[in-house]
Amino acid sequence: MPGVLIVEDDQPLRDLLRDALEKRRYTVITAADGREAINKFRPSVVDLVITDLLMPEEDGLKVIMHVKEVSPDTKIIAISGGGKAGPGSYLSIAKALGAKYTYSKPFSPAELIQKVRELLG
Amino acid sequence: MENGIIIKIVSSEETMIVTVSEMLKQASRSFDSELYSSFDAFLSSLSKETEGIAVIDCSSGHFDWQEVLLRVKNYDESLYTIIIISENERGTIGRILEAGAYDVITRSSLSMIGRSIIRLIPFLDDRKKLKKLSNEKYLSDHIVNNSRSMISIINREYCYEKVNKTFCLNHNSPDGDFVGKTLEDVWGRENFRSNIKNHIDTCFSGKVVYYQAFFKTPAWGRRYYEVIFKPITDNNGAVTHALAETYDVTDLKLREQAVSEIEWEFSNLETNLPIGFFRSDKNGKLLHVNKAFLRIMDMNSEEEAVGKSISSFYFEKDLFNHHRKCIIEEGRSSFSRVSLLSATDREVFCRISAFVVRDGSGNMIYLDGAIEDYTREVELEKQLLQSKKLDTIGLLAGGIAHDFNTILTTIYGYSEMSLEGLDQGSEAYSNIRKIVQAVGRARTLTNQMLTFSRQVGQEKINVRVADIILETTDYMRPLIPDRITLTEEIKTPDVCVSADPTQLYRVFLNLIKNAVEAIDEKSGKIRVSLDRCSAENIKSELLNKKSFAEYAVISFTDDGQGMDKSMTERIFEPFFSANKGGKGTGLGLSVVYGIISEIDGDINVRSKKGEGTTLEVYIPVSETPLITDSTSLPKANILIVPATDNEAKVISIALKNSGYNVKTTDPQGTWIKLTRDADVIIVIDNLRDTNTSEIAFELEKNNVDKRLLLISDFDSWMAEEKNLPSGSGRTNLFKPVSLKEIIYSLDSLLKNKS
Repeated sequence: MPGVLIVEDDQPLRDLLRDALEKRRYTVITAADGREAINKFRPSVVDLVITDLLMPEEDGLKVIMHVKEVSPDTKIIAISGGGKAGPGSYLSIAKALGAKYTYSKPFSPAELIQKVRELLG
Repeated sequence: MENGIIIKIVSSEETMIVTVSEMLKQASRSFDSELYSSFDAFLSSLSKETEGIAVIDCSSGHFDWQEVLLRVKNYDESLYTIIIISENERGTIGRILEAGAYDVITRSSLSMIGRSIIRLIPFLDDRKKLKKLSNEKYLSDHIVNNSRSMISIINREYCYEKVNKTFCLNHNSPDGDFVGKTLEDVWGRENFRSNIKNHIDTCFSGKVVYYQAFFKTPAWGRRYYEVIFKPITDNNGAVTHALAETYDVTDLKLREQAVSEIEWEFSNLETNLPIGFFRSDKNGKLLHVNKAFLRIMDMNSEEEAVGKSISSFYFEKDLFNHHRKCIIEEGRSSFSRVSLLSATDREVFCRISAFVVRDGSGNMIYLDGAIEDYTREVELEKQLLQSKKLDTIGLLAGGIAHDFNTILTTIYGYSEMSLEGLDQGSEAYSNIRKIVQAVGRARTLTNQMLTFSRQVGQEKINVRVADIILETTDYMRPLIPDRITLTEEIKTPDVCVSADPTQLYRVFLNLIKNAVEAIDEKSGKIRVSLDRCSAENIKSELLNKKSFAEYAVISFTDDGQGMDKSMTERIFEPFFSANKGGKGTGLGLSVVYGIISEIDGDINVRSKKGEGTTLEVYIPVSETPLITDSTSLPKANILIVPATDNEAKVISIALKNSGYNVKTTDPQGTWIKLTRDADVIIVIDNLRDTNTSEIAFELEKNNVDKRLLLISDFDSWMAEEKNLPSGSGRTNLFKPVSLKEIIYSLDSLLKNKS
């Protein structure tokens, strides 16, 4: 099954996304911050990265840049806790860097899973 | 006192003259002798002023003593005469003395002459003094010469005929010979022309002239003289001379000038300094106040103030008594932040300083003092504090909202997962749906908090304010009770600002809702007006941010319950509600504040308890022209459904002004045809006639494969979501939406399409 790397510093939300994806039988790897994510990212295992943007250590934008550099085909979905399309359009930067979809919190995890399915086929 | 005693010796015999003068020299060295060999020469040396002693030798028979005494007497009685006679005339001594001679000496006793004269000296001195006092001419000469004025007589040729000693001294020339010199010679051409000629000419015409002027003198530099010209006339009344009296008043003048400058400066200070001065009697009753005092206390004239007690200006009378006690008993003199009440009942924050004025015996007679108004500073400080407070709360709220959104996602996500396996009729299902609804409400709140904290970011475009006002009032009118009338007054229909129209719509909606709530259960009026105003006509402290030349002013006036000052100061704080019972979330006005602050605007609140409230929104005027359809190639073709909804209209305006080609339609009849040309269809759920899921199904049914942007309430979306067709060409947005979100979503949809 395709592998998904979840990068989110809030543990409950990280667990939620893992639960939801594992329920759909995806292989899930989690990271609590950007640095951990960069360390854990293996293109051979991970087909899609879901990353929060504002995190301690390295932020989500660094993660996206790293992933796109190492493996340009890996799909990325960015999520952010800012209001809607703000703040400071982190989400739009994420999109410019190559995130396929962006979600601002609170979002519907079910809808996000739907997008994951769409992207991973 | 022998000085100046002149002894005239008259004799036809030279030896006699020599002998007598030798004898006098032996008697005293201080005699001056004048020697005359003829009686006539002696006589012609006499004048009215002559004083002294004459020794006349009548022994040789050349001069007859009788004639001598007679003629001398004619000249001057103050001349003491000593007659020398021959031995054989001794018998006439008695007669000679009777005739007025002071002494008679025979030739044989010439040696007596010295003693005779010495005996005379004290007598002569007294006579001299006496003579001085009685001599008018001497007196006047004395006065003239010792006067501190320069006195001179000037003839009609402008020549000096006589000058006094002071005149000479003043010209630095004690022995100066001024007689015969012209005024121009003495004073120079410039002084003569500008300071003298016309004045003395006036005098020559018969008038007394008095004036003061600066003269440039070679000896003393610039001097200020007081000049009097008095005409002197001859027997026929013709002016022959001018008597000039010139007094140097330079020092006086300089002193006077200095004093008047100081006086002027003080009066100037007293008038123009923003410090109010007052003098009161010992009980605090005002006796005198300056203009600044009147200004500070909103009074027009001193009469208005005089007689009033200082205590009447105090908010708290006890405080006045306390201050008075401090000043009188403890000698303290300054109190700050005293809240005073002006004549027009305005609260004035003052610094008061006062001290006691006592008479010679130490009794208090006055209480003098000064007040300094710093209301403006206090208000600015308050405002600054308020805006800092709002910034801090904003930062806090933004942070909370941020974390909260993450938590809400988790709650929502697990709720979704739980709902999946549940029977829709079960209790658990209905309970979890309630959790989801609560998440919806929480989401609205976090959104408001983020907006207030200005963390959302606004897409600013040019927008005509009047368009948005009219959409807002049009939307609100059917929703407010009949007892409330809502009117618009658009004075400047074309004024544009740079803002997000959807956010302006949100602001105006909030302010009208706020006004409706303020009217409460009564009937009332709400007026929304639009005008433009140059920055200098707006209270300067209001616009504490960037300064723009002109502002659009949107006022919302209601005649509702109004607020007191403490409330108006706080209404923009989140969760502060001016309304009873905490209607609404309490975030309405803080959201308004956040949105307006972000577009460099400001809000002013004017309210009086029981009379109503006016909220004025100031937004900098934008002079950039609106984008019209023909200006450039449209970014995309957008179809908005429905057309009649006010929010849809605002979104339509916003997108048109952002460069999109926008069409609108209501989902009725053959509207599906219109979808053909659209790149994206925006569907707005308005909870009345348009339902996003219904429209989505209708489009699917008609095989319209278009990108969809669905804008709905979070709650209603939740209810419908599961039924919506899925697909990558669909994005959901939740109300309230911002232009930024819409454009962002449109860009995403259009990009993913290709």
